[in-house]
Amino acid sequence: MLIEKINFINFRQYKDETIEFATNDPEKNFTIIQGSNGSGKTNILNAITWCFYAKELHLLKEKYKGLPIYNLMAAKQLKPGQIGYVEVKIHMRDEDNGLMIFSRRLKFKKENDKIIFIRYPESEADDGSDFRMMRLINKDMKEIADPEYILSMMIPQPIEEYFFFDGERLDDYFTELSGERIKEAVFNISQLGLLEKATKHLEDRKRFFLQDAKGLGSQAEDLRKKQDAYSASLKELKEQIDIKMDQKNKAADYESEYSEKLRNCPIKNISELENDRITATIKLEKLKQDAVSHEKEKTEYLLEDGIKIFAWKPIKETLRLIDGKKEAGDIPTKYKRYFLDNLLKDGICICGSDISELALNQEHRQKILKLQRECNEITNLSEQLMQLHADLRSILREIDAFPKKQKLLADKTNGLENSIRENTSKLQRINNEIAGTDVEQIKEWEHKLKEYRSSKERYIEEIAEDKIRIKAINDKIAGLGKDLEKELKKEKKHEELRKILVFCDESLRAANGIKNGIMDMLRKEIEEKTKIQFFNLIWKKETYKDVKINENYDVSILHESGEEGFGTLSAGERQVLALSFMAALNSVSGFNVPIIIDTPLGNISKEPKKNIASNLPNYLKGKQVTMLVTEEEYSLEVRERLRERVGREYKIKFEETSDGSQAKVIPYE
Amino acid sequence: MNEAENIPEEFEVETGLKDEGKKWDRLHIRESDREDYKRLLQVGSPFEGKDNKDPFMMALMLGYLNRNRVKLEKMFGYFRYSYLSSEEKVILNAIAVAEEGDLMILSDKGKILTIAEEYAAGGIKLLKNDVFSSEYGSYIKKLELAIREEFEEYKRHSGSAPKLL
Repeated sequence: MLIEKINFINFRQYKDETIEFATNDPEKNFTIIQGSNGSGKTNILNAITWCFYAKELHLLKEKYKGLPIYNLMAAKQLKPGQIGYVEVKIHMRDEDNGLMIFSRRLKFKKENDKIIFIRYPESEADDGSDFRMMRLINKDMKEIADPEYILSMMIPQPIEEYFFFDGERLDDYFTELSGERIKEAVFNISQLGLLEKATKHLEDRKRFFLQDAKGLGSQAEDLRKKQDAYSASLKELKEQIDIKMDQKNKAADYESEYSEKLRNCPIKNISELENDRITATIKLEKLKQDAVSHEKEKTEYLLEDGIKIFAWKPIKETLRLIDGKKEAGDIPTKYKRYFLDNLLKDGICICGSDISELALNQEHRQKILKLQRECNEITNLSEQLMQLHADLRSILREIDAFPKKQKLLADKTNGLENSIRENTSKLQRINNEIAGTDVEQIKEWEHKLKEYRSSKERYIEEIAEDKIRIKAINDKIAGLGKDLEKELKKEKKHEELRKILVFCDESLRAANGIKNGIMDMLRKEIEEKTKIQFFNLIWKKETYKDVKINENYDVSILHESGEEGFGTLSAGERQVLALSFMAALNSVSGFNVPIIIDTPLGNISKEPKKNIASNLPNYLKGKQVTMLVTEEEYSLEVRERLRERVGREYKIKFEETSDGSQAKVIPYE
Repeated sequence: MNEAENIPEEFEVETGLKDEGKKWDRLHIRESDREDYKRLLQVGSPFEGKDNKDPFMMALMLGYLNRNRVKLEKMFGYFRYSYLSSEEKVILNAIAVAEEGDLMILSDKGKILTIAEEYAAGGIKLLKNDVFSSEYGSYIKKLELAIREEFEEYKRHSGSAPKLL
């Protein structure tokens, strides 16, 4: 799918503009739109999401707080009683080059110097706007019914951010709760919403069947009531988590906005300090994660190997007894006692001679009896004892390795503790330096940033606690369910109900199994594709050897030496990793949607920027890519390096007049 | 693997005294210890997310080190013998041999498992107290200390064992 053209009418800075995108040559399908900060680059993304979903999903919350969606200049020029429109029209081409036009229109009117929105009667959108889709069918443009549904099949809203994204915010994937954002992305891409709905439906039905059951015994009734009570608190807790998650996301957005302000601030020192702070924060977060994993590894080791060390006495005693048998010549043995016992019992030797008590020639029998006397019962266990001997020796060798392993673990603990200490003080130093500035504006931004960060962290903590509570309640509910099932088993009349509950439980288990299986499969696929893109884009190909996304959705980069290197990635390298991850999500999603990246090279310093730019032509080969860049990002060198893939280039010209401001998109040269 | 997954329903509870009817493809715990084992696998315990056999093995070692062997009366099939690693099976054998002072016990699997079950029954309360009587994390510190002490003793008895670094 390609975006051919976007028309903007009265949408924020864009009074009447059209942008045509690079579509003709698959080798030159990059479109570059250059504009300074605040000129309206991000609002191109917002125009797209507003047109599609009636929401400006990339809106800078602080900057546009209270600002209307309509163009202020157009509103000012409106006469009293006159009607105006905000409209965004997106022209797209499908795989068969068929034309589709999506458009959204919002109506407003000037009344007593005020602007009033007028809802379209059939609108389903919160803002009352009108959404339409037209398609070229047999040379005629025809209106398509239920455009929201058609669009949701083409570009579902939960995954739009993996196609239209802000390069400066990509670090959020790595700075937030370990693995949470990555897991959320994999879940969204997995399109498991339907399975989730099925699971919820099954849970509801199970509850319904139980509530509907008549004549339960007192024990079962009691269990049912308890289960109901726990289910109610679970529901409440989940609702609270949703609210907190929303609050956390809002705080994170505000925090990012203030961080962006500091990074883009003209005072060079502050902008560098903020960049350093982001790198140090990510590094510290990673180190803390490593410390937790290391502690886990240590616990695992102590629990497993501790048992071996505690068992050294019986191990040694058993070895002593086996050695005694070896010294006595009982093991290994040529004959086992039960073999000789059986020969004598059957009265026939393996050579066929008669060795029974009645045999004419007793000589053969006497020889076997002599062997039997010499053969201790322990010979029956000969092989088992020899094997046990080897196994016990092997455990003793592991016990002997304890000091070495202990030292390795202790060294790693100390190393991590030292690094955490160093990074914490580095971060503190940066915080103090930024806070110590005498520029009032910076002070205010820093204050706000801290305020939102601490609020975000508080929500993260609360959500983590709530999740633990949810797990505990789920365990309780599962336990009560099992007890209830046992109770129902006691009464024949409830057999039917019991069967239904067992069926629901098994279906739920199966649904969760499928969900986890799909997510795991996609995680591995995303890991593989991220790795391919990363090595495509990164300039230090010899330095790194692998990219991993583990079961907890933590991303790690392995150095050539095998050491974990995520914490030492520079901002530029991290951006490469994030771009690779986005490309992987994109490709795994199965949706053929063009990519639009706002400030892809935003925080990157000069040298790495050139390096990324050199490799960007390899990025998402065959995909239509649009980059919204600043002048600083799109330097001459970067432009030169991207030239081979760029099909169209624009600049945003921002004009301020006494009537208001407007942005014009003009050819680059 | 949690408790429910470990044992098929029809084998869940075995009551009655000792060996008769007892299945030797699984290890048993006292019915009265079920709650303790359950708690040990829950959030806040170092055994969280581990298998049923893990707290059992630790309880067994604590029971053995404290020479506290307790007969099981009402019992519960807690996990299958096949879930034990080969090293854990070796340790069970070694404990049984040392207990009886006779290698021939190795031909009696029932006896080997009974000894393990009885020591685990003697150690489970100690384990529970160790884990929950102190704050999270300190059990691991205590365990580490106990392991180091035990290693020191092992070293004293085996001249060639390496020193703790």
